[in-house]
Amino acid sequence: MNGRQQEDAVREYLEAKLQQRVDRRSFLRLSSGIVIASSAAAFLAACSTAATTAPTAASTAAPTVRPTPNIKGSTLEWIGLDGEDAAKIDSAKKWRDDNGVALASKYIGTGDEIFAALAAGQQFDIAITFNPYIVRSAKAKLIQPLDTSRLTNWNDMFEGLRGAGFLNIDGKPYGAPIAWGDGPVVFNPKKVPQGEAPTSIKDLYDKKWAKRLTMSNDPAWLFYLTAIDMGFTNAPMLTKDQLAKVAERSAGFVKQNVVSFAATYADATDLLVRGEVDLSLLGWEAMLNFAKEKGGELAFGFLKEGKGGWSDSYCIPTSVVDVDAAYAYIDAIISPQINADVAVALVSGAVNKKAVPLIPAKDNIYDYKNVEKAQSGVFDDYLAPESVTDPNIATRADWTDAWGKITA
Amino acid sequence: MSIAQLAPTLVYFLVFYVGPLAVLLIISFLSFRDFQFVEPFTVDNYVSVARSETFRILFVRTVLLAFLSAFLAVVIAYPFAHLITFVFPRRSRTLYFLVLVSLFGGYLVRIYAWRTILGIEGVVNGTLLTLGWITDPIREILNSPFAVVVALVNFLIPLAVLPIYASMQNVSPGLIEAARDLGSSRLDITRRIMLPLVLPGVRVAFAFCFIAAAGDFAIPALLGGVGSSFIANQIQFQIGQTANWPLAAAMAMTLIALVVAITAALTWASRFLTR
Amino acid sequence: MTALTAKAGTVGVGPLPPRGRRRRRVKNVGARIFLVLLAVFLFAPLFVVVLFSFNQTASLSFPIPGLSLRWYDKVLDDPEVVAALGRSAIAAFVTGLVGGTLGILAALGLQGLPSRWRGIVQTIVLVPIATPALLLAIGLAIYFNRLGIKPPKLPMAIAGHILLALPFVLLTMTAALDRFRFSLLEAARDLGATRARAFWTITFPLVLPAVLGAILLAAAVSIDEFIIAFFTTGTDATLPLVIYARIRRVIDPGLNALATILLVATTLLAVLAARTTVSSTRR
Repeated sequence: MNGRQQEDAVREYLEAKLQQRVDRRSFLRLSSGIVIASSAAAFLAACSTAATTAPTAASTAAPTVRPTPNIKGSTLEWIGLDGEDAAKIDSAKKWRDDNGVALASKYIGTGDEIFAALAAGQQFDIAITFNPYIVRSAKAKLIQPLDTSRLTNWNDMFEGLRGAGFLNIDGKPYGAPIAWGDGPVVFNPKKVPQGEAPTSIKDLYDKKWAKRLTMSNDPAWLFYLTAIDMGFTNAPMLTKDQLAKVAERSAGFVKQNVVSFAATYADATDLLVRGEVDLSLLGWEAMLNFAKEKGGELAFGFLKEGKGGWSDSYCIPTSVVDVDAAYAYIDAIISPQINADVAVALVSGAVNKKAVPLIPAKDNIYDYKNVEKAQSGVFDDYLAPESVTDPNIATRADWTDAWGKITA
Repeated sequence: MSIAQLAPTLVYFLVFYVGPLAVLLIISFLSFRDFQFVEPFTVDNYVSVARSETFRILFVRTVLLAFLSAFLAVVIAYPFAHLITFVFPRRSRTLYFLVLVSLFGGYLVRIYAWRTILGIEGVVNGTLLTLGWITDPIREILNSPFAVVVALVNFLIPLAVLPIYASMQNVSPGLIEAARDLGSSRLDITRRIMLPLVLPGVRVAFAFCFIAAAGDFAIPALLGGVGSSFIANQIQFQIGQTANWPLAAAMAMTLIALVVAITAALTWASRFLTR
Repeated sequence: MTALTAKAGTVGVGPLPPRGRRRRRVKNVGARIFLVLLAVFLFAPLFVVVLFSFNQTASLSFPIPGLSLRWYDKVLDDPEVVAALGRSAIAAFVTGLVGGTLGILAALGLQGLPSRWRGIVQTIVLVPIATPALLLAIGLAIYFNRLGIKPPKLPMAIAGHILLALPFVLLTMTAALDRFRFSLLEAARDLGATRARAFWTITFPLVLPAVLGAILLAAAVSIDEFIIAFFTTGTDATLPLVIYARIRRVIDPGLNALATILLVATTLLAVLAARTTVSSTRR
C-alpha cells in the first residue's frame, strides 16, 4: 500500500503539471463560451416567444354592454382536461377563426393538478375547475367572480347550475359551468351478472366484493354514501362524532374491498378492462366508449343513496391577462350550438336550455331534471363544507384527515 | 484555477436550487389559514408532521421500501459492473450502453407496462397458469408493495450501475495480479483491494437509488394499490387538495433531512467497517 | 473503453488474467445466465411498450390480435405531438450543452481540490436528486413568482432539467478523469510530449467519449422529465407532458408509440455519438 500511495503522489504531481495553465485555461475559455452562447440563444428564444404572446389587457376599463371589445389577435392560455377547450369542435373553431382568437392549452388529468398549477403561480386566462374545487379555489384567491352581465348566454343556463351552491359564494358565481353529468358506478358485466349489480352502497360493503373495487383517492363520495346508509341524513354536514363512525366503517370497506385507487376515469377504465377490478365507484358514462375501443365491454348503474353529479366550469384566474377574450370565449362555449357540440363530444349534459334540442337523440342521455331547479343539490350534496360556524360540524379538512388515516 | 472552474456550477446551484429551497424552507414555517399561507412564523407544521400517526406510517414505509429497492438495485448492479469490467471487457461498452438505454424509455409509459406484465391477466400470471403452477391468477403481484419494489428496482439499476462501473475503472488489473502473485486468496483480494477502491462508487450508487426511490410518487400511486403510498403521495395530496403548502413543505423538508441523515449514517458506518 | 486501452497501451482497463481454462469456462456460464436474466428484467417493460405500440387494437393486454402502424400514424398526424417533440428536442439539446459544459468544468475543478473538499462539493451537487421532484418543481415556480420575475416558460423548465442532470454529468466525468490519470502518466513518460500537445492529442480524445456520454445522459434526463416541466412550461408542453396528459385521458397504444419514438430517437443519438467518438479517437 505504501508503494501505491507514493505512486499516486507522483502521478498526481505529474498530472497537475501537465494539465496546468494553458490547456485547462483554453478548455475553460472554450466551455464558458459555449455556456454563454447557448444561454444567450435560450434567452433570445424566450424573448421571441414572449413577444408573440404579448397580451393586450389595456382595454378592460370600458363598461361595455356587448361583450365584443377588440379581441382579434389574442391567444387564450387555457388549462383543463383535453377536449374541454373545444379545440377540435368545428363550431368552436369557426368562432375562434371569425374572432381571431387562438387557443394555447395545457392538458391535465385531475382537479388537483389545476389547483396546484394555479397556486404555484402559473398564468392562465381560463382554468377549468371541477365542482368540488370552486369554493376552495375562490377562497385561495386563485379565481375571480364572474361579471355575468358580460355573458349574453348566461340567463339561458339551467338554474340548477348557475344557482348551484358549489358555484356561488356570497351570491357571486365564480365560474360558468360548461358541462355536467351524474356519477354512476361502472362495472364489467361479465364479472357482475345482471341482477347482481349493486343498487346501494350497502351491497358493495358485502364481503363478496373483496378486492374487486376501485374508487378515486378522495373520501367525499364514499363517506357521503356511507353516512346516508348509516342513517345520518344531515350528511354532508356531519358532526365530528358521526364522521368518526363513518370513517371507521369506511376503513373496513377500503381495506377489504378496494384494490387500487384510480387516478382518473381513464385509469379506472384501464383497471376494469385489464380485469384488475370488477367495479369502479368512480364512474362516467363515457368510460363505456373508452372500453369499447379497447375491446372491453362495460355497463353502468346507480346507487340509490345519491347521484354524485359532476360539473366542470370555465373560471377566470386572478392571474388572467386577457380578460376580454376570456369572457368572449366563455360566452361562446355556453352558446346554444357550441354547447350542444361540447355536450356530444364530452358525453355530458348541456348547460344551455336552448342547446338541449340541438343534441342528437342518441347522445341525449342525461336527465335534465337534475339541473332544472336552483339549489338542486345534485352537484354539492356530497361535498364536505370548507368552513363552518358550528365547531361540532366536521369540515373537509377533518374528512381529509380521516381519509389519510384510512389510506396510509 | 479549480475554483474558477467550479464557480459556474456553484453559482448555478445558488440561483436555481438554494433559492427555491430557501423559499420552501420559509414556507414550511408559515401558518396556513383559510387557504392562504401567512405569518406568523411557527413550527406547528413540523409538530404535526412529528405527531401524526398517518405521516409516521408513511415515512416508515417510504424509508423501508426505498431502502430495500436501493439495496436490491445495488446488489444486482454490482456483479453486472464487475462482469462487464473484468469478465467481458471487450463487450463492456456495448453492455454498459444497453443498460443506459433502459433509462430512456419514457418513465410513465413504462410504469403502465408493468400492469401488462404483473396484472391478473398479465404475462407473469399467464405464464404461471400455462405452466400449471397455479390454478387461479395471483392478485397480489400487482397492486402491492411487491410491485412497487419490482418497478423501483428496474428503474434504479441503471442509476446504480453508473457510479459502480465508474469506480471499478480505478482498479488496476496489475494490482490484482500482483496481489495474486504474492499469494492472496480471492476473498482477500476482494476485501483488501477491490472493496476499498470500489466502495466509494457503491456508496454513491446506494445514495442515488435510495434518494430517488424515497422521493417517487408515480410508482406507488399507479402500481401499489391501496396501502402502498409513499410520503410523496401525501405531499402531492396536500398540495392538490388543500393547497396546504406549509405542511407539504414541512413534510418534504423532513423527508430530505431523514434521507440525508440515513445516507450519511450509512456512509459513516461503511467507512468505519472497512477501516 | 476499447479506444482507451488501445491508446494507452498496457495500462487502463483490462481483463483479469486467466486463471485456468476450466474454472473460467464454468464461471462464464453463470455470468452469461446472470446477464441474460438481467437483460430480461431490465428490458421487459420496454419490450412491452414497443410491442404494444404495434398493436392492431387499443387493448394493452395479451393476446395481441395483429400488428399495425395505426398508432404511429395517429400520433405523428397530431400537430400537438409534433410541436411537443420540437420543444423536447430544444430542451434536451440545451440541457445537454449547458449541463454538460457546467458539469465537465466542475469535474475538472474538482480534480484540483483536496480530497476532503472534493467530497463536500460532490455531496452538494448530489443533493438536488434528494429533493422530491415535486417540491423542486414547485419551489422553482414559486421562487420566481415571489421574486416578481416572470421567466419564460420553456427556459425555466430547462433550468430545472440542468439542475437534475448536473449530478449525472459530474459523476461520469469525475470517474473518467480519475481513470485518465494513468494513461496520461504513461503517455507523458513515453513520449515526452509538451503539455499542449499532450492535452489535445491524448487527454482530449481520451476524455471525449466520457464527455459525450455525459452530455447524452443530461439530454436523456431532460427528455424524460415531466414534473418540473409540468409546473413551469405553462401551455408549452414537452413530449412527456403530452404523454402524461393523455395517460390521464385515454390509455391506449398511442402512448406506447410516443414512448417508442422517444426511445428510438435517444438510442440512435447515443449510438451515433458512440460511433463518432470511436472513429475520431482511432484516427
